[in-house]
Order: sequence, then structure tokens, then C-alpha cells
Amino acid sequence: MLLELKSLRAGYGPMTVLHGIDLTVDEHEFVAMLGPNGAGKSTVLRAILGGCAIHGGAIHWNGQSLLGRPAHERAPLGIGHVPEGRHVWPSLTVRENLLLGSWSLGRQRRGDESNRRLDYVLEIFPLLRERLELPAAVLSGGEQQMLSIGRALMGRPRLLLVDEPSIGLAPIAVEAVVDALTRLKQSGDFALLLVEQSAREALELCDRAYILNRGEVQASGGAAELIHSEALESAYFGLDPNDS
Amino acid sequence: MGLQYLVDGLLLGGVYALLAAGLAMIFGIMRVINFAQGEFMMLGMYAAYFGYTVLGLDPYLVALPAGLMILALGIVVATGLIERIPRGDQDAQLLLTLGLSLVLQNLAIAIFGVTPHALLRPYSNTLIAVGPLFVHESWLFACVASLVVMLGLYLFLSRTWTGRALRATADDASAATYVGISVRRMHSIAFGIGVGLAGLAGTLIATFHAVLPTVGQDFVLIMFVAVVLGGLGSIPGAVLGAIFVGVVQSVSAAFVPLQLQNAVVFLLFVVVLLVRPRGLFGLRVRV
Amino acid sequence: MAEKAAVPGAARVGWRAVVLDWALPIALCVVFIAAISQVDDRYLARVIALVVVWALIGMSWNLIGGYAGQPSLGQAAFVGLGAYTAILLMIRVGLTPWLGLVAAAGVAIVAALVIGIPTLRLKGVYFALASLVYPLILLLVFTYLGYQEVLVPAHNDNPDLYMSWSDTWHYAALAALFLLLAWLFTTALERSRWRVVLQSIREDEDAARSTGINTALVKLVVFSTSAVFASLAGVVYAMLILVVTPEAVFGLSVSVQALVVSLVGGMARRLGPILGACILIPITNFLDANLGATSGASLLAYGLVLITVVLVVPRGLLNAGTRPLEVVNRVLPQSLRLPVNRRRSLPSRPPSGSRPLVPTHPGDEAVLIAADARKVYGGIVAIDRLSLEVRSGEFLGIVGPNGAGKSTFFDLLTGYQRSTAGRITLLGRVVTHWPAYRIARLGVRRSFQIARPFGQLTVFDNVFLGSLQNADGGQRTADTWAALEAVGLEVHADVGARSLVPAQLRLLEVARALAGRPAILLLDEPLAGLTRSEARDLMQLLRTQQHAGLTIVLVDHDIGTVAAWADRLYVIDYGRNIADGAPKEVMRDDRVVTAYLGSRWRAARA
Repeated sequence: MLLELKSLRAGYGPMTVLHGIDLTVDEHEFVAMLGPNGAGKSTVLRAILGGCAIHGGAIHWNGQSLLGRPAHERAPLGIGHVPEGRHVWPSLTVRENLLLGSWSLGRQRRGDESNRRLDYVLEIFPLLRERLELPAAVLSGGEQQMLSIGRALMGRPRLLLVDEPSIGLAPIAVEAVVDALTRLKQSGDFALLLVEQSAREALELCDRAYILNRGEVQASGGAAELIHSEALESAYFGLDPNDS
Repeated sequence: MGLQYLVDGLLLGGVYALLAAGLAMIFGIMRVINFAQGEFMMLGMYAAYFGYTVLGLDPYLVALPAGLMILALGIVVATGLIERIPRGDQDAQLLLTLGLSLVLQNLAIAIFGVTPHALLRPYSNTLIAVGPLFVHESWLFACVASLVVMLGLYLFLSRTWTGRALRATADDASAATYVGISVRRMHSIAFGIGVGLAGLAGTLIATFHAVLPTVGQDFVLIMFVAVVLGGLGSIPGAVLGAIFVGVVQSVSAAFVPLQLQNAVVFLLFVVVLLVRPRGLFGLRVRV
Repeated sequence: MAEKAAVPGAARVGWRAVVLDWALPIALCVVFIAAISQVDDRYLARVIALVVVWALIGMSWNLIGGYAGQPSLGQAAFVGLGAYTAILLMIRVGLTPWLGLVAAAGVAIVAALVIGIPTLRLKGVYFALASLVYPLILLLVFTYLGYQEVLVPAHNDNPDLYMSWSDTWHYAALAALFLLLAWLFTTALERSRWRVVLQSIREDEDAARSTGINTALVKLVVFSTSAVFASLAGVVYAMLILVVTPEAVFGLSVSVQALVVSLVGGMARRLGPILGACILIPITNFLDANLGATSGASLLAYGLVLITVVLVVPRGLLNAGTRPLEVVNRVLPQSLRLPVNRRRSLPSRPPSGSRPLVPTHPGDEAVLIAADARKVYGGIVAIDRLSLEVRSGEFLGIVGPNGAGKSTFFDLLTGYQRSTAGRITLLGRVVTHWPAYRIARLGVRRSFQIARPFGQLTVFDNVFLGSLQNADGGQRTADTWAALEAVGLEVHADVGARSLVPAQLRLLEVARALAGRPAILLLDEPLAGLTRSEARDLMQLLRTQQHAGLTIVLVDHDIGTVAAWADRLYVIDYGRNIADGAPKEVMRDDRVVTAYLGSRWRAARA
């Protein structure tokens, strides 16, 4: 198993957001996390990245515990991240943004490899080639999203964590992002853990999915089954049977 | 006459720019307001003074090695002191650098004494006539040297891996962590380079300004003004701010008595803080 | 005793506290003056006088820097103005320094207003940087005016009238009297509701405003008071050192010493500056005397102390470990134990059945009207002409996906942001450009998305803050208890707010709002971070308040839970209203489902 969370409890300061999450991602597997806001999806990603407080449970990467490892030492392990809101470096050019994505390869390897990776990423996102020398700030939302994904790919990830890639994007940009991820899936050299609001798109892209609600896994299973189950709609709109 | 003030101001501002760029770099990346920046400049001035009086070296030969030594000192200070304070506790960081400034300044008094020293080189008091204008040779040299160093800084920040990583950290530190950049290390490097620039500028300033332990105090305020004018944290903004301050300082000599020249600069500082805390030039603030 | 118990937010004041607060300081001051008058050694007397003067300057700094939490680096401005005012009046018009004290205080107040009104708007380090500059400007101006070295004229004919004493102890005694005054003033602050008000401002100004506190005014008052004490100290200091130079009174080292003595002793502690001055001033004087004032040794010591304190005991010695009174108490028998502030006992709880918190409302009027509210940030439209009417006694849920503009809309309604266009009417008043504290005083209270308790205060004091503006005297205490009971936190009343769990923090915010007897309660994502059952309890509690007459507006993205409790849902997406109506219908609305689950979701399942 590439990534394994075992009854993970995590949060911020004393506040616990995740109340015991079990979740796995295998090599080359695409997994979606769905659920209403505040369900704890982003917190799961932060826990994997070392950006929140762990209150209990375990996170295993290739069978080894990730707990206590500084956040900046996780990218070199092969964990790439496409954060919510893109977080590209606005004053750096597109090229610089991409090149720095290969920082985690280490001083020796990034020299030659970064240029090979750059070609690979520009093949996937040809649009970025024309923008290479522009500061990232002037890119449109969709282009920034591609840049953010491209930057994460530069580090040769074995697992890509993608957080709300379509949020705040125009429908046509969403389509482009989804298409790119679908193509990447076919090339198949990494696994993906996706947090996404547009449930339909996420389930079509991924093999499996977890539905989170209030810090717990409410349902999980194959993507095809979940599309036709009631689990998702009840997570968003479901009235608690005990309410009113 | 007016043009003369402008030229003087531009030359001085060009030298201030180096000081301000260092301060802006530290603030832009660490979000720390370094009160001790002036004292690192003072160390550079003494390096130039002793380089000349003891070793017989011209300040322009001492500039680079002195800057590098102060850079190393800065990295030690950042790792050993500043990074030990919880990130984001700006009050504590300000107090710490204030303490550092007092320590460096008064150590210098204890070691070097309070007597001002002058470092006289052939170019120190020479004026070159250019048409109706006079150009201080020492200011001109310092300004040119400052521009050369800033070109080097620009190349470092835009062409090297570390330079890009520094800029990325300033832009968005969490994203830097995601690609494996150690923010802590970048902070130490930024502080080292920032104070190194101040030290280097000190060696240049020593060629036309009295060398004394308390010299940093006046200059640190000029740097603050420049950096705030430029929109705290932006290096190009700080450079523009510094040139602006140089001009204001010089031109104000035409209107206010010499003793109040700095008061005009301070007043400008307060007014900018109150009215436009994001700086005058509308450059993006990374706060 | 029972009457005293109603003193707002303060302790049950027993006789021991009265002695400790008022009689003891006065007695100690008298003893001190008597003792110092016996000191023959001129050097010793001078050092003692300096200790007292610096303790006073430190105490003045502590008011603004410690208690109000505004880290000033410019206390020298007031010390210097005080010194120069008295001396120049003495030289120019022969005014006695006794009246000079009054003049100095007047000048200090004017200066504090001129400096404070614009500068106190700045936060944190920006305030620190700006405050730094004022004394330096004054330094240059006074130097320019030719006051580089002003000698205090000797008046041996009438030393008492002109403070021209040959015995240094007189100056120490005079400074001690002012120090006593500053001490008693600070004590009064700590014993009144100002203690909680200042603590709230120091911890979180935005949250303080939400309880109706005019934070700008409070800071200005404290700043001016601090300036007065600094200027009085300046006068005594000038008379003591005899030669006044701009550097000696306006220099950065003066501001730094003011800060360091407080910081070393303990920020926002009465004893802090005295302790700091007692430790530091003798040391630095010794250094100056033995190594020379120009050796830099004393300022070097200040620098080292500053670095050490910031790294080792960031809030000062007194805040680092056990409180001195607790140490004293350990050796005293039980019956003689002295009251210690931290464990102050709570005002007694009135019998239940006092007047209900929520005012009964006349009928079905519109209490909140937003008309075409619009908010644009740098060209991006966050809120696009939202119009909304909330009727009295209604429970309205404003929902929408992440980034829809809910929180921005919420901030417009509560005065935390100003709308670009449109009009907002609350309880019949047009409040579009009102500051947040005025809206809170009007009876419109809010909670925050991420709970913002005042962690250093008890649960009781947190809620008590909410009651300050809408009641007085004992009614405040009664309202506080009633609000605590309404949310069920009364058993935790004397606990520090920082030790509450997240669900309790939510309740604390609701109680803080309820204590202000609001007509309208606005809650910003109160369900975030709560478990399902905690969320249910909170909603049940809110419904109870609604039935008592409260109008509730709740913003959240959890449409499912909100729908179960609200009378009406108002859905926002991309800054626009996309649905408004009964919850069941709204949730079936195609646009709402699309907003939450994406445009292709329904299509696939149809």
C-alpha cells in the first residue's frame, strides 16, 4: 500500500476535525474524497503533508510512519501537492514556477532532470509553453491551475494530492483540468488523491471514492457504485433523522 | 541649483538603495523588521576603516569580503536567535532585533570608542564638474558600486536555484514547503544576505561619511522610510523608495535648515505609514 | 460584601483586598519616603531617585504597551515634552515647576491626542514603527531650536518652590508620590471593568468591537493617561539631572529603557516596572559610574537583557512563574492568606427569574433590510446587489458553497466591512457606514467563524464583556449569569476561556452575544468543527432563544443541517442570490443542487 491512514485523528491546535479516518491509496490508483464543506477533506490532505496537528492514529507511506517528519521533507518522498486556490508563486515566471517544482529531486539530480521534466509537463499543458516567461500572476485561473498541477508533476510524485482543482474556475477551464487529469491517468505513473466539489466529474475520473462528513468516513466504495447510490446526496442535503 | 540637489539626491539614493534592498529582503521573506540593519552597516564601515588603516586596502577591495563575513554573521544570528521566536510573533521579533541593535552598537562603542573616524581617500572630497553641476566623486563611485551589487543581487535572485527558492518563499511560503523547500533555511539565508548587503553598503558609505558606532541609528530610519515607501517587502519598491528618500533629503536642504533635514524624512515616514501603509508605488504587498 | 460583589467583572472585595490595594501602597510609600530622607550618601540617594523615576516611566509605558497592548517605542516623546515644558517655563517666565507639572501634563495630553488619533489606528509593529519616529522628530526640532543643553536654574533662595533641593532624596520622594499615584490608578484599572475591556483589546480588537467597545476611544484614553504620567516623570527627571539635552530625554534609549524595565518585570503587571527598574537601574548606574556614561556599557546591558528576556521569559519575570503573593501565601496560615488576582472569586449569582435576556418584539416588522448591497475588491465583485429582508423573530439561514460570498455579506451586515454600494437598515436605522461597535451597541451581535474567545479571561469575564454596553451596574452581572445559563456554561464560569473545548467556545460566543440583550443575533458558520450531536444541541439552543423573541441570522455552508432548523433559506452563489424560500423547496431547486454538486450531477441521475 502506498498510503495508509489508520483511525487518524487530527485538527488544529486543540480542535479535532478528523475523528478517526481510515483511508488507503494504492500505487497508480485514483481516489476521490467527497463531502460537504467542513467535512475534513482538506484536513486529511494537510495531515498527509504535515500541515496540521495529529491527535491520534497513524499515517503510513510505503509502510513507514510519516508522523514527526517535517513538512518540507515530504515532497522528496514523492508526495506532490496541488493546493486549493492554486498557490502558484505570482511574481515568479511560469518557467521558474515549474523549475522549482523539481526542487525536491535534490541538488544533484534537479540540474539535468528538471529540463526533461519541463518538456514532459509542457507536453501535457501545451498552453503553458506560450506563457513560459510571463509572471504567474497574469495567468487566468484555469492556466494557474494547470501550472499548479504542472509544478507538482515536476517533482516526479508517486502520489499527487489535488485539492479542489475546479473551485472558482469557469466551466470551460474545469473541463480542461479534468481532461488533463484523465490523460495523466492513462499515462499511469502516479497515484492520485482528489478532493473535488463537482462530484460527477470526480467520480468519473477516479476508481474509488470516500464520502466524508463531519470528520468521519460516511461511505466508501467503487466510483461507479457511488454515482448511483444515495450516499452522496444525503451527505450534502440529508436531514439528520434525529433533527427536528 | 535645483538640479544640483536632484543629482545629489539621486546619488545618495542609489547608495541607500542597497541598504533598503537588504531590509526589504529580510522583511519580504521573514516578515521580520530588522532594527539592527543599521548596526550591520556600521560593522561594514569599521571593516572598511580598519581595512584601510591597518592593512592599507582601499574600501572597494574590502567591500566584498566584508559583506560576505557579515553575511555569515547574519546566518548565525538568524539561526541562533531570530528563528527561535515563534514565527509570526512580530512584536517579539522587533524587540529581539532592537536588543541586537543595542548590543552591536554598544559593543562597538566599548571596542572602538565613540570618537568618529574619517576614512580619507583621494576621491573622498573631490568634486567633478559636469557642466554647471558638481558631482561628489565618492558618492558617484559608491552609487555605481551599489548598482553593480544590485545587478548581482538581481542575477542571483533570478538565475540561481537558491535565489528562486528565496523569491518563492517570499511569495508563498506554504507552497514552497510543498515542493520541499525548507522555509527555515531560506529565512536564515535571507537574513544573511540582507545584513550582508547592509555591511557591503557600509564599506561604500565609509568613504564619505564619518565612521562611528552610533551611525546605524540615523541610517536605519532612512532605510525604514524607503522600505515602507516601497511597500514593505518589495525589493524593487525599496530601491525606488530609497532613491526617493535620497532626493527628498537632498532637495529639502533647499527649504529647511540642515539640522531638520532628517526630520523631513521622518515626517514623510509617519505620513506614509498613516496614509498609505502599502507604499507609494502601488507595488504588490506581500504581507 | 454583597453590594461590593456587584462590582462588574471584579473580585469579591474583602477587607484584605482593600488593605492590599489601597492602604498598603500608601503606607509603603510613606515608609519609603521616611527611609530615604535618612539616606546621607548622595550617590545612593541619586540611584534610588533614578530607580523611582524609571519605575514611573516604565509604569506609564506599561499602561499603553502592557495593558492596552500597543507596543510603543516612543514613550520618550512625553518624557521629553514634560521635561522641556517645565524647564523652559521656569527659565522664560519664572514659573515654578510645581505649576510646570500641570503645564507638562497639559502638553502631554495635547501631544497624545495629536499623535494618538492618527497613529493608534495602526496595528502591531506598524504602530511601533510610527511611534518610534515622534520623539526623534522632537529631538531634531529641539536641537534646532537651540536647546542642546538647558540648565535648570538654581534657586537657592526658595528651594521648595523651585524644586532646587540640595538633598537628592526630595526628588526620590516626589517621584515616589507620582509612582504611588500611577500605582493607585493602575489598581483602579485592574479592579474595574476596564481590566476586561483592556484585556479584550490587547487580545483581539475585532472581537472586542463585536461586544460594542469603542476600541479606538479606549486606546486613546489610555494613551493620554500614559503620556501624562510620562510627562510628570520627565519633569522630576529634569530637576534631578539638572542639565537637559534632547538626547537625554527624547533619545531612543529613553523609549527603550521605558519598555525594557516593564518587559523585564512583567508586561501588564503593576509590580512589573518597579521590579524591572529595581533590577536594571542600579546595574546600569553602576556600569555608568565605573566605566563612564559614554562607554556604552549600560545600553549594552539593556540590549543583552532585552534579547534574553524575549527568548527566555517573553512576558517578563512576574509572568514567568509563580506570583509573588502566592509565594507569600505559602508561609502564611490559612486564615491570613491574601487574595491573589488570578483566582478572583466571581460576583454572586442572582436568583433565577430575573428579567429575560431577549426583548419581546412587536409583531412582524422587518428588522434587517439589505437593499442592493454590493462589495467590490479591486475590480472583483464579491457581493452583487444582494437584497434581503429579515422579519422580527425569524430564523434565517444564509447558505451557499465555499467562496460564494457569504462571509463578506455577513461582514457588511455587521459593520466589519463597508459596502461599495447599497443600503443596510437595522432595527429601523440606516447603518450602512456605521462602525462595528455602534452596530453592536444598537443590539445586533455577531459570532465569528473561527471562535475568538479572549483566552486570558475567564468564561465569566468573556460573557461579561458582552453585557457592558447594554446595561449598568448589577444588571450587567445579572445579564452575564443569565446568558451563561442560557447556553449552559454557568458551571465553567470561573474557568479560563482558553481551556474550553471547541464546542464550548461556540457556546461562549453565543453567550457573549446574548449578554448584550441583542434584538438580532448573527452567527458566522457556527457549525464548523462541531460533531453532529454538538451541532444539534447548538441549534436547539438557538431555537429556544428564537422562541423567546430573538431574531437569528445564521450563515453556514452545511445546507442540510441549517435546513432542518431555519424558517427560511437564502442561498448565495458567486455573490448573487440564487434561491430564497422554505428550506424543503430551496433544496430541490436545480440551481442550488448545481451550486453544490456541479452542473452535470443532476443530468447524470435524471
